[in-house]
Amino acid sequence: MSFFENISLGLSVALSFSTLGYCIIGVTVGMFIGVLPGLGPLATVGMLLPLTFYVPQTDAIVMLAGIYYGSMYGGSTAAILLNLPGTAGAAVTCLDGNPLAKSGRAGVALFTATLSSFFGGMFGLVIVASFTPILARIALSFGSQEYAALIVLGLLSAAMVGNASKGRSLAMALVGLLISMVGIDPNSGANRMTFGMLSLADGLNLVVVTTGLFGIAEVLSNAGRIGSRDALSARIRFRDMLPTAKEARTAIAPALRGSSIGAVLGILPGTGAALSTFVAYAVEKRVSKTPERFGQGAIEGVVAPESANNSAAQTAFVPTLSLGIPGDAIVAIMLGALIIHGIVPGPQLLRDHPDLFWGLVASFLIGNVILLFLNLPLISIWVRILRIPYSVLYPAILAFICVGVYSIRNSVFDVVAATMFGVVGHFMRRLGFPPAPLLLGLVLGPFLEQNFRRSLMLSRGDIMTFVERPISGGIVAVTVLVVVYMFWSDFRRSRRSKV
Amino acid sequence: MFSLARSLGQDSVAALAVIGLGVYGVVESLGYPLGGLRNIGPGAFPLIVSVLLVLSGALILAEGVAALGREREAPPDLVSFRVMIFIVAGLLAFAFLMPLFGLAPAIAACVALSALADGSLKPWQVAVLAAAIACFCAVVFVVLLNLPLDLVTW
Repeated sequence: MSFFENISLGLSVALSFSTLGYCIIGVTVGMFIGVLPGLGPLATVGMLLPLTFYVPQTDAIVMLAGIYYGSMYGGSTAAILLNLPGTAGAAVTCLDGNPLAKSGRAGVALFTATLSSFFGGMFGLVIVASFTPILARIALSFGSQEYAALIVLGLLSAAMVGNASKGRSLAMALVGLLISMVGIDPNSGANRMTFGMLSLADGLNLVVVTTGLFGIAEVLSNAGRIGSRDALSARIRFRDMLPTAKEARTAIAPALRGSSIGAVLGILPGTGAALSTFVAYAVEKRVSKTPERFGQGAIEGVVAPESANNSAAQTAFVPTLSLGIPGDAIVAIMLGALIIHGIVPGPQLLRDHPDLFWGLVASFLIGNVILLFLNLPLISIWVRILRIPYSVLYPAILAFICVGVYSIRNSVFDVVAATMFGVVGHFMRRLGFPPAPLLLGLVLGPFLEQNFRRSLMLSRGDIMTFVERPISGGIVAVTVLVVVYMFWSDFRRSRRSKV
Repeated sequence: MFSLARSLGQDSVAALAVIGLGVYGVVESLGYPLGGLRNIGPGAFPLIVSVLLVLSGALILAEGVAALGREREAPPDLVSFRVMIFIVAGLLAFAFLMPLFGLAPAIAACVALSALADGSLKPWQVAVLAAAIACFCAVVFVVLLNLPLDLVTW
């Protein structure tokens, strides 16, 4: 099919009444939870996942994706107005966005953040539409050896890249793998790690673990701590939003650089939107002729991270939809949603369900345009939403979690299990364990085990099969390089800081 | 030795927890057939993961030792006893009441109990909040989304 046929197929899906409706719901919810500090896209997507069991697969994934990139738009609002990131991806936007707001230029900061987000989103969209089919075509020749190697690479790079301790991230990915094995083993029928409980025979549901580790644990850490907030009450008129011509010109290069950084980090498995904002900001500061302006309200400091996180939120779908390996934890949940709907993620997805892929791509386009209009003209509404106190919000979050978890299979056990994961998750955070690698391990665990077993069966027990096949061997080599490089750079950094 | 453990603090607790879980995984997976390389059994994969888990626990310790004497970020505050008790009570109240009395009472109880964790709302505000969220959930989940949940049963 030609490119235009694909696009028109996508548009016909995305513009259908129900898909368009779910797209609008998704981006609006995303914007809402993005604006509100203390409720992130990960917890929300996990919480709403059970509801998507009842809607068609394309609509489900369009809505969940909308929540993700919608929250990237919303996150900057709280960052600029309150110096409080609405989502993890907006933490860097505080650095220059809030000083701009304090000097009476909040409107300009919001306008630039929104336009940069839109630019980044469109940039990412083009990457998704052009790279996913190519990658999927290559991946069609992959066997189970290649898949096993790719999953290991994905898990390791999720654990290695980022700020958290490597040992801790690695441990979390492994715990995720271990949890994924709870329940009946599909190959032998053995009941693994069920403690003799019938409720565990089907394994631990993804929703139970996610809402516990992210939703409930987040409420435990925030309740009683986030007090009432004083949002800037100044009215923001549209006229105050327009940046000067000089500012507009200086914004072009940072937007391009930010989008490119976001696109690369979004595609790499395990590195998500939040990390890309830090990198983009650091690069802008290094490139700038006047680095001393950063932190005092430099417009580039808003443009680069905002275009980076939106670009990454889109390109995270590239490995997910072409290889079946999620680009970050939030997309991992969406992968779980696809599996629940009976769609096998992997290169055959594009061939068997072109309507789903192109519909999703077209919905990105529509969703980003909706967000543009949702954002700027309605800014006073979002500012008002910022004033909802957390003491009212978190009981509602808990109620939604309860209903969502219970509705999966009308099971009291699941609600109790989610509560336990919440408590454990809180202590894990306290000990410095990052929860995201656990989620990747949990989603990828069954695939890894299946492909690992199948590879060994095909090679008649020859473990060298992973190295001898050219593509799989190449992936193994890259994995080793990533691990060695990461430890080496850690070692170098610790040497330097001691001298 | 003891002073080393104390200065490692967090790291030793984290490493111990990971190693403990890994050892448990090893013991548990040895209870299942391991199979051979040609056709590996249900115990083999969990065994590999558990052994790696023990190793990553050792890595956490090593990182802790390497980072001794360096400044690091303070860990986030631990949850207060009050918050923990009321939020867990709220969630368990839902689990307990849902099958007995239905969705609306279960949500009202969950909201009312968990709202007490914060302590900034007055009793009448808690009551209004509980009623409002119960109504909202009833309309959204049962009426609009048609989830197969009973609103009220007795």
